[in-house]
Amino acid sequence: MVCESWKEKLDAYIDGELPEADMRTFDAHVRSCHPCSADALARVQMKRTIQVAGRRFTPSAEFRRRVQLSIAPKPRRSFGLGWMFAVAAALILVVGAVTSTYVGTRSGSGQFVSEIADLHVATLASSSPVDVISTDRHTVKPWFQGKIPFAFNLPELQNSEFSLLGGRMAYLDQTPGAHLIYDVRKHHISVFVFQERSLPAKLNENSLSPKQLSFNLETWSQGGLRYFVIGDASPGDIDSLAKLFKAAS
Amino acid sequence: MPVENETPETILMNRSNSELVLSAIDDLPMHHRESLLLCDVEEMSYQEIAETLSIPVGTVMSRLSRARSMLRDHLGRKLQGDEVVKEGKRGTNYGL
Repeated sequence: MVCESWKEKLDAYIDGELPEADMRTFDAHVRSCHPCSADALARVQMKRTIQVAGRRFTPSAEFRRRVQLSIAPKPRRSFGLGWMFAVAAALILVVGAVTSTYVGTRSGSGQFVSEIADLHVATLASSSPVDVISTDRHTVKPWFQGKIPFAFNLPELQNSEFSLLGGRMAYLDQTPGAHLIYDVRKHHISVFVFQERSLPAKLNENSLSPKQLSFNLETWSQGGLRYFVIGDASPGDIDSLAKLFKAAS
Repeated sequence: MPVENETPETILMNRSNSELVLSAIDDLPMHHRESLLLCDVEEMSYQEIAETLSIPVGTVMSRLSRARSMLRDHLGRKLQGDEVVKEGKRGTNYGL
């Protein structure tokens, strides 16, 4: 087992959110792999420290009553410590956040980009991130024939730091598109290509500042297609890959 | 029993650690902080957090991952800063 492929799932493992089969596989791996074991232990300790720190948020009796009325009883999970007070306490921040700026500032573009980020993260967390595995663009591009209602060009990557890992289908607001995954210095970058006219809203590219995202993102429209390049690589790498695509299109 | 192992020193140390983490959590961007607290303190599942915040599950995952990463970085910097301060003070004492 390659540890790197599990690193991205470590948080989900600690949170008890992996499928049962993956949990068993991961359990077995952690028992035999010292680096993963140490990493998992550190994350569990951090989680418990956050739980302890979270105790310090003490809600008022009135607020607790309101929260208890608004939430349904929820089953406890494996890492549970029975934090009845903390349940209400944490919601202080959430309710405060939601009533202040969170909901108010969410724009259509922000929601759109959030979906793109979801697709990127969910794919990397998947045990089979790509459906067509190839570093050859002449293998990956034809794979999309008949699957998406448009054609696009993939850039030549010789003399660049990027390597193509493969591709898969992606759907954004029920619109089919292409999802390509690239690697640059162990960072995975997703490139999504959709038909511009199929997307429900026109994106305000100026509103997509990096502060609104956990990832770096670049998006543009070219030849009737909408491109998204997203990943945790540096803005320079994202921009370089975007330029390669712009040159190829 | 854990309680039997608690001494005034360990209680003080735990309280100090909690305050450090609390401060780091306070410094997180709001969206990341709320996901982290709902997951780790309230022990909600990803799906429950997604429903509570009206965001996709994938966004919950990415925010949690990012929040924990930022928390580790913040605490790492804080601890490194403390070490530098300690060394500085130690150096001053030696100088005296």
